[in-house]
Amino acid sequence: MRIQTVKNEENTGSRTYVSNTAGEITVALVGSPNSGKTTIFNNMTGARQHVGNYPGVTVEQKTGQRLFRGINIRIIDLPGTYSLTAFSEEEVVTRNYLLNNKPDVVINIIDASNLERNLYLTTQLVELGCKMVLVFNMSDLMAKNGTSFDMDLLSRLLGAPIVMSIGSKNVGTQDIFEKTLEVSKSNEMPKKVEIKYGDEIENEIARVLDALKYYGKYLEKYNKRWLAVKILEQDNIILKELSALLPSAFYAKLSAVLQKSLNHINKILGLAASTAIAESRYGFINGALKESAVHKSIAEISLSDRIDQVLLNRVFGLPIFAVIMWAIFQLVFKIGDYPTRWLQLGFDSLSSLVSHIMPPGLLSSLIVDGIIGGVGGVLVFTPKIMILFICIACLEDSGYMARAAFIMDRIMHKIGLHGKSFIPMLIGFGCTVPAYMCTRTLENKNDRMITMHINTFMSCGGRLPIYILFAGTFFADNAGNVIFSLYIIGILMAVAFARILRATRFKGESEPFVMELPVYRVPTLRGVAMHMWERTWQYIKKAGTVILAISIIIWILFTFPRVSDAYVEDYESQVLFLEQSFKDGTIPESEYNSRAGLLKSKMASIQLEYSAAGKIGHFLEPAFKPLGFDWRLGLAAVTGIAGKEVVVSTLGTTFSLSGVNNESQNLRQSLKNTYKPLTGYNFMLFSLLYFPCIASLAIFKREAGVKEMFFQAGFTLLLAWSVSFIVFQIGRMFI
Amino acid sequence: MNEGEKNFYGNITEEQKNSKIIIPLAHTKQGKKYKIENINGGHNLNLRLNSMGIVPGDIVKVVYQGYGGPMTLSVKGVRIALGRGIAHKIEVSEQDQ
Repeated sequence: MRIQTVKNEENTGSRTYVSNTAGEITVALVGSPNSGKTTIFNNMTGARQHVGNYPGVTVEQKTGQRLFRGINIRIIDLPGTYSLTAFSEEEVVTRNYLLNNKPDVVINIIDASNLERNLYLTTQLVELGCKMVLVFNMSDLMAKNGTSFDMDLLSRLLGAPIVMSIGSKNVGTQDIFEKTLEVSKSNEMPKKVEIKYGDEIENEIARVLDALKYYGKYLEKYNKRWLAVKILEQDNIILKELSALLPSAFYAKLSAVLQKSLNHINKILGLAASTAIAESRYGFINGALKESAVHKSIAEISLSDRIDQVLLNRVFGLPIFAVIMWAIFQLVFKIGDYPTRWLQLGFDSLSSLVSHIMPPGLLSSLIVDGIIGGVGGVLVFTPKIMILFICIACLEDSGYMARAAFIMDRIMHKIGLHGKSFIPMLIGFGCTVPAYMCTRTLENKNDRMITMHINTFMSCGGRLPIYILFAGTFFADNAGNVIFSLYIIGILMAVAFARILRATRFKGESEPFVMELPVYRVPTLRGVAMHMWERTWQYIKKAGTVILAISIIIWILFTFPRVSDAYVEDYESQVLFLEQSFKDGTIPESEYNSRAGLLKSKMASIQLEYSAAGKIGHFLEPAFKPLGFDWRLGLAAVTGIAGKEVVVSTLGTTFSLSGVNNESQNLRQSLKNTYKPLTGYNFMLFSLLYFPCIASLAIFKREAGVKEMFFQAGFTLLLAWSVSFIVFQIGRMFI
Repeated sequence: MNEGEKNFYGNITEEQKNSKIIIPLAHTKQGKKYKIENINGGHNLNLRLNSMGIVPGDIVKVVYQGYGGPMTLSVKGVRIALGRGIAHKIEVSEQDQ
């Protein structure tokens, strides 16, 4: 690989470009939220990345590859950002990548139906001196609006080639590759387009540049003019970086220069320097657009506004939102029930088939009780999870998710958070892990910590199987309502803890609420199917890997150590004796059946109690007894730490092995015979309240640190235990 | 703006004749257009709003006024939701419709 350093005369800063002759280039996708960046990424890589119609989908940089004209193009999708002044965590990711990794080409995705605002980021990329390709995405919308530009002229004014694309229809992808290669091949620096900020600010830029001249050796990674502008904008992160990079005496000198410049600008223009700079950038954009406009018409999005008049209505907004949520639950539980039942029947007949074909013994038990009981028990819920994910995908793609944040802002305000915190919470209904990632869109650290801590109370998809099993068993007639009540309790808990945490651990004002409301779009079948499948596949994959492994471990724990041979011999001789008596005709068939069943289940329960799992369960029993849980539920709750779906598979294995069932009896009936409805409800409550799973804790640690992770684990466990204790102790007085 | 200040002849100056009443965005009416005069937020809020297209001098339309809750603005062809706190910090003047 040939590395070439291109020095630009105007800039003292140097940028290193990796020449493409060796056959690999790195390109980064950058764009405002909602510009359709992830769709373009999918088109370019063929990958199935998640795209949503709300800000904050790309929370981590994603990488894809594509071989084009014999050159391997590494494509990096960076989180959406409105400017290179980074506020939130994910915007910092984007900016740091551009500054530190210096991709060969930056592909700037622009929503063509809204050039003015989208080009704001472009002006900053121009200043950064990147080699760039501008992609005018959603160009069909621009055409529909009746707007057209002289693209050659506009491209010259902006200093980068323009490619028209329609991401949703995969139009223009080839052109993007062509232009990207072309740009990367040219060894010249991009044609220098300089944004002029007007005499007053230009003077101060010159003054800051002059001051920076002496520190050149410390500041090699920066483009100097860009840096000077950022300093004048008082970009917090840049100033912090400089104070770390520069010796403190230098930094103090620089600060003094900056202060003088700021005062000067303020005195002459009567504006903060940052505002004046922003105005000039928009001025530059307006100038370029006006100059190149062939036909301009003002975008009509009145339909979207009219929908908003209803959906955001002060009176109807919240009830409509509540009805939508309720409808989703009905859909998941009523419609989803049929395929779940068919799957259950399928697994049941598979079990009996295996036990008929295979000789009874350990292997047959492993397959029937361990694997089919465990993995099957989780897989039967796939259709319901699928429907839930389809609904969430529709909310995201239509643009309603951002409205939900808007509607909830009033309420969220009362608990010391703002509407934006609601989006991670909604995603938390699907899975907590992406919800934690989504909190990166929150700018304020305290807001983010609170949102993460309370997200555990949003019932995730993994808890759903527990609810479906227990609610279906104990409250068959109104399972939907019972499950809905758990979701509501979760939300109330979240509200309570948001307030408690705000008042104790994370004091201070919440960040102001500013958010773009994307134009409503009809979700495409392809888009919804893609998201649904991506997430459902995760669920199935989890069943096939983690849950399979845990099921086998649990089966082993339940099966070994075996009871002593003396026991077994005793049991076998009793069975033999019974069979003999039946053959001799001394006892009638009905008596034989009942006595044989009794003997069998007694043996099974002796074995179960003797096993490692039985011993662990009994060891744990004192901790769970005050909650009304026996050792089996206690054990299930503990295994649930690995993933809440495992709770169901553990119970499946336990009851399947204990052999109480006379073939026809399935898990539901066993549960119904063993526990009271109060215990059933209480167990659901317990499962709701403690942290979702070990994976979520790992992400928590990564995002918030070890201390917060332990706090999360500790307080949710304590809460789950306390609430279940109270409910059981009070409940049993009445029932 | 120097309110009440009169010129040498005691007449209202040209500037004062053109001046409009300045109100916080929170007190505006739905469906009307306003010019952004000033943003009284901290530095960070200013940068944030600038990058989302809200800059002094811009004409914005109040698409939805949520009195007591958040509101929606039309700025540069985009819909931006603003919380109550910010809506009080942005000063606007009424525009001829």
